[in-house]
Amino acid sequence: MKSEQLQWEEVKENYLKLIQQALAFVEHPRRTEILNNVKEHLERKYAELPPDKRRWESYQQIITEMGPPADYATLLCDDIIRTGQSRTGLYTLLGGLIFIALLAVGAFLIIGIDTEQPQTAKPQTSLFVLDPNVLGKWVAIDFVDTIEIFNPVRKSWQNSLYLKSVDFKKQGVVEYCIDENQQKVVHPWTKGKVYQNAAKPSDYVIKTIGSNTYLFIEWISGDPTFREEKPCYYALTQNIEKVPFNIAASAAKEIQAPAKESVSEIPVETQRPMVLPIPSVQQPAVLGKWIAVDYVRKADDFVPTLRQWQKTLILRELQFIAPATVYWSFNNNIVKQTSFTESTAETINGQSAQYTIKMIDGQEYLFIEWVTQGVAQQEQVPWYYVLKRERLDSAAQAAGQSSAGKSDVLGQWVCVDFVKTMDEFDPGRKSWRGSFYLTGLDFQNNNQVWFSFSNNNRFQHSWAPGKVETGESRPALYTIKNFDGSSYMFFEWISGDVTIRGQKPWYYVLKKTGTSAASAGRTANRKIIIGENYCTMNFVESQIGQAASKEARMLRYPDQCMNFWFSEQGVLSEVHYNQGYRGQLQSGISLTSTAEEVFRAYGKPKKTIQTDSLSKKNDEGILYQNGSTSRIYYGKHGLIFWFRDNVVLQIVVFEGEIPLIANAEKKPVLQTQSSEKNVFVVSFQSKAPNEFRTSADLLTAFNQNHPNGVRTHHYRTKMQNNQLIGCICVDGEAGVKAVSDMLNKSDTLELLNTARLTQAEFEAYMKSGLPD
Amino acid sequence: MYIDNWQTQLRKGLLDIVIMNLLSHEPYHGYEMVQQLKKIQGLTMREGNIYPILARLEQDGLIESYTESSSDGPPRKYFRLTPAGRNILNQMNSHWQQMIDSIHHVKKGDFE
Repeated sequence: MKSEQLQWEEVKENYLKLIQQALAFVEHPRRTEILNNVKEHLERKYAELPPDKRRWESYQQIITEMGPPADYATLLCDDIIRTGQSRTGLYTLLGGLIFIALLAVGAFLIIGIDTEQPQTAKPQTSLFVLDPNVLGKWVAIDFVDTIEIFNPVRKSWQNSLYLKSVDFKKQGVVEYCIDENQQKVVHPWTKGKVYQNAAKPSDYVIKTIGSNTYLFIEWISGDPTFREEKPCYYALTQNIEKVPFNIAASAAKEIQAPAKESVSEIPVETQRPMVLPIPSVQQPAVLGKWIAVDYVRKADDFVPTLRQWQKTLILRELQFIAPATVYWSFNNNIVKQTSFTESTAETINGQSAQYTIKMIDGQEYLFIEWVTQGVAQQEQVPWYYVLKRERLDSAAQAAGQSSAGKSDVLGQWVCVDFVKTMDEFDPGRKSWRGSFYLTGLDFQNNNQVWFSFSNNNRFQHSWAPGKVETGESRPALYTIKNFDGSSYMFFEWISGDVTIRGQKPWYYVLKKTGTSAASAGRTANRKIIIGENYCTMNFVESQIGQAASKEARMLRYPDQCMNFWFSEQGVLSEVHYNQGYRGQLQSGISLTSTAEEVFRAYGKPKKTIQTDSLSKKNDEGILYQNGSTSRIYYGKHGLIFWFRDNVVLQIVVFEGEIPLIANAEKKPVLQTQSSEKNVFVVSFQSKAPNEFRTSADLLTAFNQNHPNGVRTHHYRTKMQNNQLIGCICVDGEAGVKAVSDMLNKSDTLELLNTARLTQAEFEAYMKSGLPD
Repeated sequence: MYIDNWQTQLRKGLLDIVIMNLLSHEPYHGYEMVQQLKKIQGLTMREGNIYPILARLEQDGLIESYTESSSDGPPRKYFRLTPAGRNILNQMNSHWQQMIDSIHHVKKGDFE
C-alpha cells in the first residue's frame, strides 16, 4: 500500500476512534450508525481528493472540516433538552442551546452509567453533585502509579504527558485536552468521579501538598478496564508556577512533610533589625536560578576567586520564578518554597531577607541576607549568602544576538544530534544514541516552518528571526553556528519539562541540507546529484514523485524499481536500481547487461575472490563471488554492480549525477507496464466479514502467502457493501494464476475476481486509485 | 469573540430546522446535504455535525432513511421527512417565523 494511503487510514482511524470515544458515553441507539456514516463520509472525501493532493495536510483539512469529536456526543444528546421537563423553558434560548446540551449530556450519562436505567429513562439533573473545589482548569504535570509516590519536585513520568489538561465545568462536563494535537474530549463528571470510560468511572481526589493543591485523576485505559490492573493517576495542578523543578528526588518527602531541620547552624555574629515583608511584585532582574558560591559577613568581603566560607554551604541554590515564588534548595536536599518582592525574599522561617544583585567581573551575583530565627529574634545583623547566576541560556542570548538573517535560516535542516547544551555538540561525533523524534525543519519564506517527525507527521508553525512559535507558553529559540564550513542550527526543544517544570531545554542540532521544499519550483531545474546538500528526501520526492514508502534513510520506488538511500545527515548517498528498471548508464549498461559488457565498459576485474559475504567488499575492481552471485566495486566511477548468473542484478550509484534518471524518462517502468497491456487486477476480501478492518491488515494477510516470483503492485482498497475489498495489480498471466491459486487456498482471504487491464483501464486505475 | 460564540451557538441550535427544511424538498444523503449547505451563506456546518442530528431526528421518527445503490461506491443512505416530521417542521417553521417577527418588533421598539 502506498504511504499516503496508509497515512490516510491512520488519520481516519484515529478520528473515528475519537468519535467512538465521545459517543461511548451517549446511550443512543443510533450511535453506531453515526460512526458508519462518518466513515463513509470520510471515504468519499478521500476518494474526491486528486492523487496529487493525497497528503497529510489534506487529510488534516478533511478532519478539521469534520469538526471536533466531542460535538458528536453533544449534538446527539440535544434531544434530552427537549424531553427534560424542568428545562423546556430554556429551549427557546437558542443562544444557550449548546451550553445546556453539555449539561444535559453530563446529567444523562451519569444516570445512564450509575443506575443502569433503560435508555428511555428521563434524566434527573439533581444526581449531578457539584464539587466547587475541582472547578476550573488543571494542567497535567505528572503521571504516577499511585498518588502516594507523587513527588512535586521530581517528575515521575519521563515522557510527554498524553493528557495535557482538564477543565471542570459546573455544567457537569469536564473537557480533557489530550495529546500533542490538543484534541479536546468532553466527559461527564460528578463529585469524585469522571466518566472518562464507559466501563468504569475514574475517581479523582484533591490533595494539598506543601503549599500547592494537586488533583489526581485515575486514568482508566485498557489495562484497568480489560486486564483489571490498577489504574495510574494523572497529577494536575492549577498553580503551575508553584511547581518546583530541577530539584533532587529525595527532597520530595520533605516537601510533603515539612522537615524540622534547623538551618541556624550558620554562625550568627551581629544584630539586625527585623524587616517586614511587603507585598510581592514581579522583579524580573532576579528571576532565574542562582547557585550559592560563598557565605560572607559583609557583601564587600566577597571575592569571586577566593572563597571565604570554608565549611559546607547549607544553602545550595535559589530559584526565583515569576511572579513571586522562590525555591530554596539546601544541601540536604530539602526544598522550601516562599515568596519574594523586588528587594526581599521570605525565608523558610517566615522572616524577610533583603537581597541585592551585583555585577562583578562580568558575572551577576546575588547577595541575600541569611536571616535565621535566631538572627531575627536577637535582632542580629545577618551574614550574606552569595549566589552566582546560573549561566544564561545561550540560546536565549542567541535569540537576541543571533546574526542569522532570514536567508541563513531559509531551507531544509536535517536533525543530526540532540544535546543538553550547545557546547556539547561535536560535528564529528553524535552525542545522542537514540533515534530522533524531530527529524527535520523546513523554514519557508512566508515565515512558516514545517516540522517533520519520525512518525512521518508534519506540523506547521510560524517563525521569526531567532525563534519559532510552537504554541507552547514560550517560543523555541534557535541559533545558527558554523562548523567546518557547514551551517548547524541549535533548536530548543520546548517540552513539558521546560514549560511546566521549568527545566532548561535540550537542543536539537540540525544541519542545513538544502533549500525549502516549498521552493521546489525554484530548484526544479536542479538535477539529482548524490552528495549535494539540496538532495534531501523532500527534494528527491519533488523530482521523482512521492515514494511508495519512506524509511528513516530510504525512499522506496518499487514501481520504478529503484531505492534512494540517504546519509545520516539526510543527503542522498546512493541510488539502487533493481531488476525491471529500463534506463541505462551513459556507457549503455543497463539491468539487462551481462557481466562481460560491464567489464568491457568499466574494466576487467583485477582478480576474482570467492567469499561467503558480498556486502561491503569495496576493493577497487575486485570481483567477489558467492555461488551464482557476484559483485564488483568501481569506486572511481561511483558504481557497484551485482550480478546473478553473470547478468546485472542491481546497479548501485553512489557518486555524481543520477545517470539513469537523466537518460530515461520519468517513471519508465510504469509506461512499460501499461504498454505491455499485460497487467491484471485481482480483487479479494476477507473470508470472515470485515476480519481485516484496515487496508494495511488486509495487505498483510495477502502478503503472508504471496507467491514467489510474482510481481504485484499498486494495491488499492475500497468499501463495498461495508466490506473492505483489496485490489492489486499482478504482472502476467502466470502471475495471476499463482495469485488466484494462493487466494483460493487461503484460510483468511477469498478471491473475488481477476481482470486484464487495457492500457486505458490501467491508467484510469492509476488515476482513480480504484477499479470499477 | 462574543459574536463568534453567539453565531456558533445559534447555528447549532438551528441545525434541526435547517436539515428538516432541506429534506422537505427532496431526499438527500448526508454527504450531499453537507455540500448543499455549504452553498448557503451562514449555514455552513462542520461536516460531521450532520450525522448525530440525522441519527437523532431518525430516532425521533421525524425522518427516515433508505439505501440506494450508487455507481461510484457503496450504496448510499438517503434521508427523507416522515409525515410526522413534516407536521413538526410546519410547527417549527411557524414558531421560527414568530420568533423573527418578535425580534423585529423588539428591534423597532414596537411593544404593543
